Amino acid sequence: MRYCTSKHRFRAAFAACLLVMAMPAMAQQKLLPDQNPRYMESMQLYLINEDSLTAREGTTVQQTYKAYQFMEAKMERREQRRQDRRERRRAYAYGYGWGSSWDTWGYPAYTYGYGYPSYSFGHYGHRHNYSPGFQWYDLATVTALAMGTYLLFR
Amino acid sequence: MFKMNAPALVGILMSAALIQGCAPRQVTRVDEKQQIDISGRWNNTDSRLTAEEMIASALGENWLSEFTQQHAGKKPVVIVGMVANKSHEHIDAETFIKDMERTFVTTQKVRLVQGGAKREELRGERADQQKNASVSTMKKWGLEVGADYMLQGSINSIVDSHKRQMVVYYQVDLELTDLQSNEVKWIGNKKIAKYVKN
Repeated sequence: MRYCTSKHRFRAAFAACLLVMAMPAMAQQKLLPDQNPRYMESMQLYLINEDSLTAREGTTVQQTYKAYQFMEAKMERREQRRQDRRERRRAYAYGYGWGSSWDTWGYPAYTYGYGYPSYSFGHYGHRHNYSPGFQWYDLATVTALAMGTYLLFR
Repeated sequence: MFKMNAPALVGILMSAALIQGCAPRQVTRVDEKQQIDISGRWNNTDSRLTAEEMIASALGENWLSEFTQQHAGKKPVVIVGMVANKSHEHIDAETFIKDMERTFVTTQKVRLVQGGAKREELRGERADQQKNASVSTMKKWGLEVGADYMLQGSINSIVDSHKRQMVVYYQVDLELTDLQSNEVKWIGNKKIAKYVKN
């Protein structure tokens, strides 16, 4: 019983202390003339995000866009064509072997017209199939050519 | 008739390529105010012209005299906020904003306070002083100067291009807003138009 009484007294004293401590803060919260009475709601919201809101002070935020410039667009198209050609040559070079990277699903392109790599022109949206033509990487072609030359000039 | 054989032609071409490759790069110091336009993009001349216009406008307009009159001769305190570059090129506003800040400080008409990352660094140093500096020299918390105005801005551009011709238009806007009332007190802008022919 004595214990309970002392406990209640402690609680009351603690509450009184809190009240005394809070008095200056409450005094500061008095509204100024014409001040919005709900300003605390907004203040609390912004106090939480204060760091992220001030982090970009003194900086230039880059929100640039890509403008259409005739000459630059032309050069880009040219560069794209060059890249396309390179890709196509590479595709020819590696398009025959077993397990070629250009084969879909990794299956060999052993029949003409089936699984043969076709190249898509990226943003242009066309698709073309190309005949293989002469391939320096094709060992059989090189061997045949060498043997033909040898037979011709021997 | 002049006849040239193939080896001679190849030799000349290779020599030309070699000479071209070995040509030293030439660098010349020029006056910072000299206008040199190479690509037609935003350059130092644009930045300088923007800074000059903004400084003249900011220090010459009514907001400054109004503030000093209303606050018994007190100078306004400005903090630099964010500048949004919404143009088609990478432009850093710091080049002309720094020119403005420097003029504010040197003319002593406007006071400046740090913001953003620099302010964080300063507070970090102050925090460090609380543990490491002598008591007589350590700086106290809560005595920073509160800004009266925030300087914010944007950079916009319009590009009109056809074949070898292009017109580029830049508009730089800076505005000074009262931090208490959110009232915009000053707007300065600089418009630059360029005609580029390739």
